[in-house]
Amino acid sequence: MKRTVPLLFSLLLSPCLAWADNFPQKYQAALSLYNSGKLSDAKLAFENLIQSAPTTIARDEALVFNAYLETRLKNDDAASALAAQIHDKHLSVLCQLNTLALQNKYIELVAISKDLDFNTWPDPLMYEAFTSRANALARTRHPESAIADFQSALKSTASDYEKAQVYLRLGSLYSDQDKSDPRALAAYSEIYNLKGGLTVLCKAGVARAKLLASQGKGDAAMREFENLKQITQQPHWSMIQIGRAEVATQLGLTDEATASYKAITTSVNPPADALEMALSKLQSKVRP
Amino acid sequence: MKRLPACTLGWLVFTQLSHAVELVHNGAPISEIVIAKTPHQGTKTAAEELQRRIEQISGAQVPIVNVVSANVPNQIYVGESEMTQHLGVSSDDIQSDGYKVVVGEHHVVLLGKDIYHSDTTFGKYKDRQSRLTQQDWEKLTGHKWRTPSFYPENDYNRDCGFHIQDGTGTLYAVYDLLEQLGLRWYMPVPEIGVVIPHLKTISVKPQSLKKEPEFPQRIFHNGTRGAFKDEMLWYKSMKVGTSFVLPLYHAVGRLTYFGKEADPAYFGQIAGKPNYQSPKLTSEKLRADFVDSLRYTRQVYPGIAYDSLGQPDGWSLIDSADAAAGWNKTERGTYGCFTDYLWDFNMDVRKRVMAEDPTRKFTVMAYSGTTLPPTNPQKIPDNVTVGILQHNSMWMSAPSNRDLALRNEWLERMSDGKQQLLILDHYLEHAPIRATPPVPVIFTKFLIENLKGAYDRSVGYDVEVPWVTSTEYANTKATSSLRKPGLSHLMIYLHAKLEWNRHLDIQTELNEYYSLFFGPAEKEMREFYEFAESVWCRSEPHEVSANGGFLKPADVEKYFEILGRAKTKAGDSIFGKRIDLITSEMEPLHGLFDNLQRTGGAITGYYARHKHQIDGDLEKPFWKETEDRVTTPLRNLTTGNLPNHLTTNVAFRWLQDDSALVVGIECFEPKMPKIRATCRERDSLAIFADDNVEIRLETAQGIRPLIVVNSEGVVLDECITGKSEDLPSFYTVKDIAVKKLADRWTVEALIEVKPIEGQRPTTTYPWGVNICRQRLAGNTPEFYMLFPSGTKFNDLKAMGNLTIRH
Repeated sequence: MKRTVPLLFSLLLSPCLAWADNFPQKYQAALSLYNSGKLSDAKLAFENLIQSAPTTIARDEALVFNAYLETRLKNDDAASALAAQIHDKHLSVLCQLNTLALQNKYIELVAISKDLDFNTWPDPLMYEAFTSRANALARTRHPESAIADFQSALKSTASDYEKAQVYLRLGSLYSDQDKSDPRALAAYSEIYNLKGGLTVLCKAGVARAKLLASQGKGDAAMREFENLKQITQQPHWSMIQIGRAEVATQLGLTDEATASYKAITTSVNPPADALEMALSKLQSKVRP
Repeated sequence: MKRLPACTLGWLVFTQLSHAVELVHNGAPISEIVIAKTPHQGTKTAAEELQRRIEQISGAQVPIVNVVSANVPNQIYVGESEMTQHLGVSSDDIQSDGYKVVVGEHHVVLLGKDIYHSDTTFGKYKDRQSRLTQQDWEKLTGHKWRTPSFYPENDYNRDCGFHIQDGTGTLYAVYDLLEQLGLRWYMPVPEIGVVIPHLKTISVKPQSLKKEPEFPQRIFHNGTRGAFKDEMLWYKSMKVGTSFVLPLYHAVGRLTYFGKEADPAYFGQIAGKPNYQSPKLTSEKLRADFVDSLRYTRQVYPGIAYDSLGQPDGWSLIDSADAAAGWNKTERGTYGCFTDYLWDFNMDVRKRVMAEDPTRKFTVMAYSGTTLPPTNPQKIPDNVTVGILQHNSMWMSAPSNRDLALRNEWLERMSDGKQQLLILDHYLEHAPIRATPPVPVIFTKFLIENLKGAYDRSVGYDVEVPWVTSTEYANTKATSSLRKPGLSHLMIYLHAKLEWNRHLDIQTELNEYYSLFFGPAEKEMREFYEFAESVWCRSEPHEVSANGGFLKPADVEKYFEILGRAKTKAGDSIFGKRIDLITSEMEPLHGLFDNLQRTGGAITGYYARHKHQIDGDLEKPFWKETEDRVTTPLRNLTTGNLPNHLTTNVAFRWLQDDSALVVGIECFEPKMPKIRATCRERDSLAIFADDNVEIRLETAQGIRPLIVVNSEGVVLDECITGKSEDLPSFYTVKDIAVKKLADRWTVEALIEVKPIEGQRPTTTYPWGVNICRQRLAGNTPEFYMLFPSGTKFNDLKAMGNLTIRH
C-alpha cells in the first residue's frame, strides 16, 4: 500500500525531526514511527496530530493513519469509525479500501469499490485507489479487471518505484493466465527502464528467467542473469543467486544450481534467510 | 483628584446659582434618584448605575424612587419624566443621541435622547434568544439565502435593556456626571478597570450642560458584548451608540453565502468552473433576487431608511466573461480593479429600488478591490453613503500612506460627507486572526490626524475590536469579550472620547490616565506608552519575522524592564494589579523571537559557472554543470509527502558578480493541456486562480519579495521591506521566463539583489526561502511547498534558510 511506502524518505528525514515543529514535520515523524513498526508510538503521535491539526485536511490525513493503526492492532470497528470521520469523501473511501486490504477482506473491498470511477478522483489519490482495487480483484480471481486497474494505475503515477511495482504485478497476472503471453515478458522488461530500486529489478529479472525457462527457452533464461551481474551488493546479489539456482534447477542444470548456492555460502555477509536456504539445498543435493 | 479641564465639558455654562447641590454629605445620602413611574429598562439601568457608583465613591446608598420624597432635600432626576418637564428640561432640542446635565436649586437633571432601535426596528428579533432564524428567513423569502447580518443580536443585553448600538443619551448624562466627580472607566476588567474617587461629601456644581456627539454613528463592534453587562456599560460610559440605523454589511454575500446550494446564476465562472467567492454582478438573476431580498429585509426590520448594497467578503476574482467584456479594470490597480464593476451593480439596484420608493437611501462598501472611487458615476448620489475601510493603527504608514488622500478623493465626489461617508476601521491587532505580537498598539498621533480629517465630513465610525474566542472563554473564564483588554483598552477609550469632543487635548487626557490609573508608577507608565508608540509607529512591516518587522528583540527587553520598574513602584496595590495584567498579556513576547526562527531547514544554492540567459531552459549548462548541483523537490503542503503523480523541482544559482539570484523551477505536469492560465495582466490578483508558482524570499535585512508566475509567464510581483518609506510602490522582478514542454513547464527568474538590499546569503545571514506551487490542472486543487507549512504559502516561519556556496 502506497501510504506505507515513504519509508526510505521518512528514515532519511527522521534525524532532522528532533526539532519537528509544524504539522508536516510532526506528520513525517509519526509516519516514520509507523513505517518502522513502532505502532503504539505511532498511534500516540497520530492521535496528537488529530488534536493539533491546523486544518480539516490535516486532520483527515492524521485520521487515515489512525485508522490503519487500529486495523493493525486488530481494532476493526475503531478503524471503521475513524475512516467515517474523515471529512474528505475520497480520502475517506480510500481509507476504507486500505483498511479492508489490511484485514484481507478483498471481497468486501471489491464490492464497495467496483462502481467507483477513480479517474475523477483527486490526482494524488488515483494511483493508490487503482492499485488497492486491482490487488483485491487479482486476489478474488478477476484478472482482467485487475489488469485494467493496474494499467490505469500506471497512468496515474510519475514514480518509477510505483510503476515498477505495477509492472511486476502485471507480469505476474499475464503469466498466471498464459505462460506464453508475450505481455508478461514485456511487463517485466519495462522495469529495466525504470529507476524503481534494486529489489524490484532483481525480482523482475528472476521472474523473466523463470518465465523463459517455463517456455522451454533455457539459454535465454540463463542469459537473463547476465543483465543482473552488475548488482554485487547484498542482499540483492544473494536474491539473484537463489533465483539463478532455482531457474537452473528448473532446467535440470544441477551444477549451475549448486554453484549458485555455494556462492552464497562463501559470500560476505549473506542475508540469514538466503544462507539458510542455500545450505539446506546443498545438503539435499539440489534436487528439483 | 485632578479636575477635568473646562474644554472637555463642551458647552458648559455656569448658571447664576451660587450653591452647589449636595448628593451625599459626610457619608450620608441627602438626595434621591427620581425616575418616571413607568421607565424604560434603559432608564432604570442608568439610575442603578448612578446609585452603584455613588455608593462606591462615598459609601452612601442614594435611593431610587418614582415620587419625590418630602424629607429628602435634593433630587437627581434620571431620564425624562413629568417632573423634568415641570423643571423645564427636556430632550426636544437635542439633535442626535446627545444629553443634558442641568444642576439647579436642589436638583440635578440627567437626561438625553434615548433612541432604542432594539425596541423599534429590531423589536421582534432583538436578542440572541429571539433572533431571526435561518428557517424563518427561508420560509419568508422562499430562497436559500442567509439571514441579513447587520444587527448583531449578541450585542443586546437584557439586564441593561438596550443594544450596544442604541442611542442612550440618559445613560451618557449619568456618566458625564460621574466623570465630573472624578470617576474614570478605562478598562472593562472588574475591580481594576475603573478609577473610583473616594469622597465623603459629593456635591455638583451648578451648570446647564448640553452635549451632542461629533458623529451620529459611533460603533465599536465585535458582536458578542451582550453577554457581559459590565462590559456593555463600559462602552456606554464612553458614550458609544448611534442615533439612527445605518446598515452596512455584506448584503450581496448573504445571497451567495451557501455556495453550491445557492442559485448558480449568482456566481462568476472562472476558467469554466463556478467560483463561489466571485459574485456575477452583471447577472440579471442576481440583481433581481437581490432587490427582492432587500424588500424582505425591510419587512423584518422596519423603519430603516437605508438599504445596504454591501459586496460579498473575500471577493478577489471576476467572472471570465465579465472580465473579457472589460469589467476587470486592472489598469486601476489592486484597489480599484473592481470598483466600476460593483458600482454598475450598485447604481442599477438603486434605480430598481427607487422605482418602488424614491425616498430610499443606500449604503455601499469600499475596500479591497473596490477601495478607489468609481469612474461611473463620477458623483456619488446624495442618497448613497459609502463605508470606506481604513486602518487607523497604520494610519498614513508607508508604503500605503494614501489614507487621507483616498478619503478626500471620495469626499470630492460627495455633496455632503456628514451624510455620505462612514469610516470603517479595524483595531484588530490583538484579534485571534492577526499575528501581531502582544505589544501595546499605540498610535495617538495617527488617531488625532484621522479624527481631525473626519469632523464635519463624516457620519462617523464603525470600528471592529478584538474578540475573545470560545476556547479562550472556556480556558480563562473571560469577563469581557474584549481580547487582551490590558493592551486594547486605551486606544478605544481615546477614540471614543474624540468622537464626542474635537477639542480634546490628548496629552492632557494621557497625563490624567497615567496619573489616575497607575498612581505611583505614573512616570514609568508614561515612559512605557511613549516607548510603545515609538515602536509601533516605526516605518517597518507590522508583521514580525526572524529578520524584520517593527519589533526588535531589544524592544522586548525594554518593555519588561520598564514594566518591572513600574511594578516595583506600584507594589501589590490596585495600580500594581493593572501593571500585572498588562505584563501577563505581554508574556508571550518572551518566546517570540525564538519561535520565529525558521523551521524549514537548510537549502543550498551555488555560484553559477556559466553566463546566464533567462529563457526558461533548465537543461542548459548553467543549471547542469555538475552532478552534485541537485535540484530539490517540492512536497505536499499539508503532510510533507513527496507526491507520486508529479514532481516539482527547484534549484538556485548566484551570479558571480554578486548581482542576482537565479531561481529555476521545473513543474512536471501530466495534464499539460489542462493547465489553467486565464490571467493575462501583470500584477492582477486573477493569477491566484491559475496554475502558478510563488517565489517567496526574505533577505537578511528583512526585505520580502514575492513573485508569482503562471504558465503563460504572467507575473505578479510585490515586496515588503524593512524600511517601507524607502520602498518603491511596487517591486519588479528583473527578468523572468517560462517555457512549456510536452510534460512540464519551467520557470527561470533572475532576482536582482540591489533593489532588495540583498547581500549573498551566508550561513550566518541566510535568506529565508520558500517556493510554492498551486496546481489546478488536476481534478482537485493541489498545493506544494519547498518547505511545507501545513496551512498556507505565506508562513514566514516555515521558510527554509538559503545559503550560497561555491
